[in-house]
Amino acid sequence: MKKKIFAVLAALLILLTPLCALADNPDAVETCPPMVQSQLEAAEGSITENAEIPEAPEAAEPVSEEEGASETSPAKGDQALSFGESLGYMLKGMAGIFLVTAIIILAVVLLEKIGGKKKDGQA
Amino acid sequence: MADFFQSLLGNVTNVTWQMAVMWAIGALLIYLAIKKDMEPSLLLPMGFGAILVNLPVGSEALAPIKTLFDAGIENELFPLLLFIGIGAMCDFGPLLNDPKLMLFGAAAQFGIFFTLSMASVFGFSLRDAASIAVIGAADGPTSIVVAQQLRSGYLGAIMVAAYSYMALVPIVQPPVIRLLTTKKERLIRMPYEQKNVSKTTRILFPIIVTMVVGIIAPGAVALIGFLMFGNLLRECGVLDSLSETAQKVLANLITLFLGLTIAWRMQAAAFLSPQTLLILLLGLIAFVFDTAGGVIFAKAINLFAKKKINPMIGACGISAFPMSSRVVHKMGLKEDPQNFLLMHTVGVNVSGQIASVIAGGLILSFFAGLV
Repeated sequence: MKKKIFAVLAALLILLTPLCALADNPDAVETCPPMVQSQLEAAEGSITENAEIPEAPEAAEPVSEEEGASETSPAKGDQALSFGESLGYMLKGMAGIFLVTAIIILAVVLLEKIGGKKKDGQA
Repeated sequence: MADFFQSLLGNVTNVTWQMAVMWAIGALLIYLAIKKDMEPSLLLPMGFGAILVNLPVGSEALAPIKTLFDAGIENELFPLLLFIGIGAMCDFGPLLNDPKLMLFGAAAQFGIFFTLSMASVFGFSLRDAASIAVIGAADGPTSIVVAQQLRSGYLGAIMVAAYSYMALVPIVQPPVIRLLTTKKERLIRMPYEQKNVSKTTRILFPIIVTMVVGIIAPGAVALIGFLMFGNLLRECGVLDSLSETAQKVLANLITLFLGLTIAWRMQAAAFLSPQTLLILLLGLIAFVFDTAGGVIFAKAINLFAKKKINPMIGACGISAFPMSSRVVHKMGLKEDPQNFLLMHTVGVNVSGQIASVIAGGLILSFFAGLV
C-alpha cells in the first residue's frame, strides 16, 4: 500500500513539475530541449498557448492604433481575460496546488518513516 | 439664532442617500454579528466602520483611519500578523496522522479558479477577477493580501463577501453536499486510526511547508511563512507563553483593528455599485464550487480505493476553520449517530488552510507581474 502511495505521488510530481515550471516561466517551453518541448506541447498544448499569452503585449497594439486611442495600450492587469485564457490558468492553478501538496505529503511520509525508525531504534 | 442652528445642523444637508444606504449596510453587518453570531469579531467592527467612514465629514476628520489603513492593510501587515495567531491556533495533528487528507484541501480550491473564469466572463479586469476569485480561499488574510498586491479597486466588497460567506458556511455547504452525494455515501463510516506522530515531524512540518511553498509559489511565502511560524511556536514546546500570546492577545488585537480599518474601503462612492452585487454573487459561486470540488474529488477517489471515503469530508477542504469541519461532522452524525467524522474533517479543514494560501500564492505568481 505504501509503495502504491509513493508511486502515485512520484507520478504526480513527474507530471506536474513541467506544468508548474510553465506557470512560473512561460518561456520555459522555448528554452527546454526539443524532445521535452515537443512532449510538453503534445501533452499540454492548450496550456502552452495560454502560458505565452501574458508575454504578448503586441497583440493589443493594433487595436489601440486602429481606434486612435492613447499611445500606450492598457496594462494587461486592466484587461479582462477571455474565457479560454482563464481556463488555462484554472488548469495551471490546480496542477500547481496538487504538485505542492504532493511534495508536502511526500516529505511528511518520509519524515514519519525516518522519525518512526529512530523511535524503534531507541526502543 | 439662525446662525447658531446653521452652525450646529448645517452638516445635515451634506448627507446623501448613498451615505444612508451605507449606514443601513453597516447596521445590517452589526445585526448579523450580534443577533446571528456571524463572524462577530470582524463583521461588528466592519459594520461600525462602514457607518463611521460614511458620515458627512471631510477626509481630514477620518485621517486616523486612513493612517491605520496605510500602516496595516496597504502594506499587508495586519493580515500577516493575524496569520501568526491563526498558525498558533491550528493543530496539524489530524493531518499529520493521515497526510493524504491534504489532497482534499487541494481539490477544494477549485472554486477559486472557477470563479476566476466566471469573473472574467462578467467582464472584470484581470487584477479584479483574480482578487475576487480568492474569496473562494475562505480566508480573510489571504484575500486581503492578494487584493492589495494586485491593486484591486474592490477590497471593501471582497472583504464583506469573504467574511460573510465564511459565516454562512453552515447554510451554503449542506445543500451542495446533499446534492452531490447519495444517502449511502453519506453513511460511509471512517474509523479513525490514531498514530503516534513524532514531535520531530510536528516541528519540522511547518519548516518544510514554508520551504516547499516558498520555492514553488514564491507569491505565498509571506503568508505561509507567518502561518507556519505561528504553528512552530505552538509545536516547539519551549515557547508556550509566546504561542498563547499569538493565539489570544495578538490575534484579538489585530482582529480589532482589521475590521475597523477595512471599512476605509467601504466608502459609498467606491462600495455602492452593481459590481459589489456581482462580487457577492461570485463569492457565493466560489464557495459552492470549492465545496463541490472537494466532494467530487472524494467520490473520484472512491472509484479506485478499497477503503471507501465518506465524500462529505471533501467539503471541509474549504479553509473556513473550524466551521466547515463542524458542519460536516454534524451532517455525518445526523445521517448516522454512530458515525464520528470529526478527526477526518479537522484534518481536511486544516489542510484547506494551507492549500488556500498556496492557491493565493499561485494567483499572485500568475498575475502580480502583469499589474
